[in-house]
Amino acid sequence: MLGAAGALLCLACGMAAGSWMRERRLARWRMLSAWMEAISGMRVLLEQERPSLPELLQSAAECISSGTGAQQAAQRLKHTACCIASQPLLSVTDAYASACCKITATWEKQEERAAMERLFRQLGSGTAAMREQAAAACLRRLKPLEEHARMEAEKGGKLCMQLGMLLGLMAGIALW
Amino acid sequence: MNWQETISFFGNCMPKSIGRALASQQEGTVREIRMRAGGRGSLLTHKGELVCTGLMSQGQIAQTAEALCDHALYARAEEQRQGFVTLRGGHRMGLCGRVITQGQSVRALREISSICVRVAGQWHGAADELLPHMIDEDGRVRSTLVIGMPGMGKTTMLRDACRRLSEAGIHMCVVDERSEIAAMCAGVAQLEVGPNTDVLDGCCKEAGMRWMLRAMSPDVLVTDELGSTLDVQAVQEAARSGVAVMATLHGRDMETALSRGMLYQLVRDRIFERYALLDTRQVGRIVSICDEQLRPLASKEAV
Repeated sequence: MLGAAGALLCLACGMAAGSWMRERRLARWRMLSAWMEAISGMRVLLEQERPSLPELLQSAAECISSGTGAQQAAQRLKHTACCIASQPLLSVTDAYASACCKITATWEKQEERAAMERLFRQLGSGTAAMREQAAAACLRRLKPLEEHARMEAEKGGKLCMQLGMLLGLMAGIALW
Repeated sequence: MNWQETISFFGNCMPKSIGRALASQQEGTVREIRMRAGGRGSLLTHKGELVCTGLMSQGQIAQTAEALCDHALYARAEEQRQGFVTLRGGHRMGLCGRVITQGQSVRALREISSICVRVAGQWHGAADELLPHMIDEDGRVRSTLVIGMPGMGKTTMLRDACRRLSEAGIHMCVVDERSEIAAMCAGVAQLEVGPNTDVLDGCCKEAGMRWMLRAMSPDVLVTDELGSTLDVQAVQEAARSGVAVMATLHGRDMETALSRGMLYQLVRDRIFERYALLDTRQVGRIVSICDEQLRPLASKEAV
């Protein structure tokens, strides 16, 4: 019906869909890894230097490596820092919520979102030890999520690609 | 930090009613800003108290305290334990709330309920009266102690003397434990302390004075509010090494200051060559200047 060109087009579409699914999984893994890098950096800063909150978030953002997912995490930290610096009466939780609205990450799941919101709620008050403890607790919460996301990205990502290609091929053959 | 920057800083960090009231004030007129949970904010000006509209909650007070400290109140636990924190621009924020104690010592402050911000000001000429007594016939700076009640201009006088001596080419070293003399921010002094002045910010007086002696070879060491025997020991060490010291001490008059023991020790060892006593009612007014044995050199009748 569609001919050879149509079949090839279906195959390409299937592969693109598979690739998109894979990229989403990779992005989630990168974002979780980025959060963990940033929070580890925060812990050291809280313990050693005790900077102001905007400085802490800016420095933590600089610990993050590049790549889709990681970039969004860094941008959120920077945006939160800017919000607090420009509107000092804004709470840390509100500043982070504003950053989440501005810098969206569709691959982000409720578990990590809740963990980060909880961290930002705790970062806004208490002693240095309490804040450092909050960061450590958040790391513990994110660790299994990151492990799971890595597995999903490595195994599931490959599977998505193969499945996309297969479905595209089948659709192409059926429509030929 | 000039007055416009000060208004902008306070306006951003404090409730709007206080920000509006501050914006209408002239430079040098506001002395204190007070806020209480469940009460109204107020400004203490030269003309009297100006009460702002709108009641403030405890949450607002706590949020204001955090904002004024650039969201780094947690890092100022040691200062909080002493009851106040120095802000950007050298302003001093006194705090009240629920104190958590351990034995006899203060461990932390929670549920901040009151704030009193003492607005710092640069007053050129505050040390005009004192300076002639500080320089001897050979042009050497005499060690000088300024004694006065809180809020009567001790630090302002010390800062102005430091600036003037520094401008005259004397190498001044400031140990600014509470960031009140120079108000350092990102390595830059927010208040004028002179072009020939090095500032060690946030370091305790005892360690700071030793540091300066070792590292910066000062002509004059400047520090604020001597308060402990360790501070006195550090001053003695500096004086013995031939460096002049300029410092301040809390006290209503010479008698009450001497009764604290610390001043007695300093007079006994003749550490300071000049003592300036400030008036208890008029800010920045010297009522008497004494020599190293506390004999008055010049005195004025208190208003």
